[in-house]
Amino acid sequence: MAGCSRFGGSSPGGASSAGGALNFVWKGDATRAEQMRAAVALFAEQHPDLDISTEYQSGSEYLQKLAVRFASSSPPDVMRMERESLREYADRGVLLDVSEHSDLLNTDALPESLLNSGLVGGKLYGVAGGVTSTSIVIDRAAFTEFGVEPPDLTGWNWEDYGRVCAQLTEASGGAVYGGDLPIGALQTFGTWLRQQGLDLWTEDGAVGFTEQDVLPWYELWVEFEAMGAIPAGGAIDTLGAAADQSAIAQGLTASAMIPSNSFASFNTASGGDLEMGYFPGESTGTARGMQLIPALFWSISAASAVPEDAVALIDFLTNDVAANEAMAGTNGIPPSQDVVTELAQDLSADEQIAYEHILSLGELDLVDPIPAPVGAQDFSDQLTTIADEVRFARMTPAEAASAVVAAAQESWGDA
Amino acid sequence: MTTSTLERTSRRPQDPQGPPAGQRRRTRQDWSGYVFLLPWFGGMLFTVVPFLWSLYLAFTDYNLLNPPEFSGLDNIERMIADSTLHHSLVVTFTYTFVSVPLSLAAALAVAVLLNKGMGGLRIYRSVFYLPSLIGSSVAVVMLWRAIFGANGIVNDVLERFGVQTQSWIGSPDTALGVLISLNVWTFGAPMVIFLAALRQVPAAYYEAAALDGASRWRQFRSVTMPLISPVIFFNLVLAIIGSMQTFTQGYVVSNGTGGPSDSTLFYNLYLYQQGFGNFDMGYASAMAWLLLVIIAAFTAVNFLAQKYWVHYEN
Repeated sequence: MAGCSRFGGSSPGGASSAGGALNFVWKGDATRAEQMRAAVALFAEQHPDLDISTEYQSGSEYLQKLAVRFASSSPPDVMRMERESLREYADRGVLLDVSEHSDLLNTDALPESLLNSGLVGGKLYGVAGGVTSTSIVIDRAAFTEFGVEPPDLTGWNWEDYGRVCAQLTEASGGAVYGGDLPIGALQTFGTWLRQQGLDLWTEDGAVGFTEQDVLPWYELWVEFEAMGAIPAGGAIDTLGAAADQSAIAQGLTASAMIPSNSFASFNTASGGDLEMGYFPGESTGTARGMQLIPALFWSISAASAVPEDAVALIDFLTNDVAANEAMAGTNGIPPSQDVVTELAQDLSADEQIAYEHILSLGELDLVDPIPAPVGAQDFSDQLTTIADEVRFARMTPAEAASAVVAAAQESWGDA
Repeated sequence: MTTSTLERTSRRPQDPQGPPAGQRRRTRQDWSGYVFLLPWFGGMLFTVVPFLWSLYLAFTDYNLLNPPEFSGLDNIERMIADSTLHHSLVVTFTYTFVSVPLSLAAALAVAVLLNKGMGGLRIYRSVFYLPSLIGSSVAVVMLWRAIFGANGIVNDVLERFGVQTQSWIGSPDTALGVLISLNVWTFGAPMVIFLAALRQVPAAYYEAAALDGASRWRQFRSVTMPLISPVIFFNLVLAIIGSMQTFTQGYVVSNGTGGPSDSTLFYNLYLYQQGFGNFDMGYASAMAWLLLVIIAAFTAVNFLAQKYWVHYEN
């Protein structure tokens, strides 16, 4: 294929920006872009000789854009990296091992498990840019309105979840369902697995569960639907990921699963009476299922011509109080404990709740997240499909259990 | 395109001076033709190079980050074993075989009605064509989501009659049906072409048929249908090619997932997920070529079958 070499992958050195130019890309909307640019502007003041350009893109298009940038041999110097893609990129040798420049990056104030989540094969390919978790919220107003005793969100188990949700559905005459969880989401399924002492995948990239292990998960949800705790498949449309499109904000359910750092926007969208707590079974299972997860990683391209400036930028975003103030929690709780302590004084009430909730998780004995294997994205798609099949009664729990194990084996188990 | 083909198709009488002069004149004409075609040749480069490149990629393992690695027939073997791909073909064929006949029938029926020469024809023609202008656009699919969603207009009406409902686009049994109805609703383009064809049928034929005592239906079957059959054929070929390539509707209605339960996972949507979701560009390229082969096969069958039903008046 003569003449087509320019379409090939990135050749080291062939993708460098001109000396002293740094390109920084992230995922997010226009609001986040304002916050990020304010933080970058502070960094630029300290590095007047560096020509910094920034770009952003929201939604799943971000990942596509990033891949195309690498494919066309013009990767950005610093980029936001998703949890699910870190290993995918790192394994392919296109990212810089940040620990090579450890003199420029101060990680003293980062919790160790958080820092380690950016390691792939012992090398630091991503620096956590924020902390979040997935949590359960209940709408207290709904419980009051229908006269149902709200659950204890730190000590409830799955049985309680089903019972309380069914009570609420019944009390509201079916107008509001007690709850609904995305049972096909990696976060939900993974949390439940860890409560059983298992996990989605193991350190060495094997499948972390068997058919017998996951059968109860699907049986549980079939039972919940029969009790009326959750809506039947398709009874509620999920329009999108935004808080105001959620079922709880529309008053269709009285509880939901949310990213903890989005508490403020969900609470505003739902009328301000949300209470945030732990997953059912969190304190009654074999182990803790919830995790403190990096909301995102900052990564550097292996082909960057300005690796030192790039590391300096990540250091600045990590440790500078003013920069974190400018970012205003858009990337989750700041990863540095020192910054958190410094900023915690002037937060809004909702932000305070999210902060305290996430920090309280940090005091529990949690299982560290294992970086996602290559193929996690593919598995995630199939997990959603299998969940749909169960919720629409087109698959029995037993069929779903064998399908989900097969999907995992196919996605990464035999790799 | 060589001069000999031009010679064959050239209808000008031969120059009595003998061939040389004529040859010369033709060569000069050819030359100017090619000059006018130059921009097209330039544009073709942007099509041909990626076209050939994707053919090469179809036989590689290419993840966008590293250079493509030649993998022989791996992608083809994978396609044979990939049950999700087979499912996406079923979705696409179902969509095509149900919505194409329905939408062509609707287009023809409305064209016949409009051809009656009623007052305000222009307005009606525009109104019926309108949905097609915006047919596969994101805005319309969003509108259909709103109509057929759990709290949509359709359910509001049904609930007034006491029918227990669920979301039409949220259920794997009905989501594809909603998209098929959306596609049928956008019959404007074939309708306008049918209308033009109906206008071409000489009124004298109908008069003659009426004198022979043919009913309206008989006239339609024996006069209209044969005379517009080339246009039906044209619309059929285009509609099949178009619906095989459906992407937007499935993408928007399911937020890009092809859900619920992969019921709206069109072939092209799955291809897109493989290429841009899983960075599996080699496999996605192989899938694109398979689609080309499938569409070519359908089109070839169409062309072979036309001699049995398409009537050309010469």
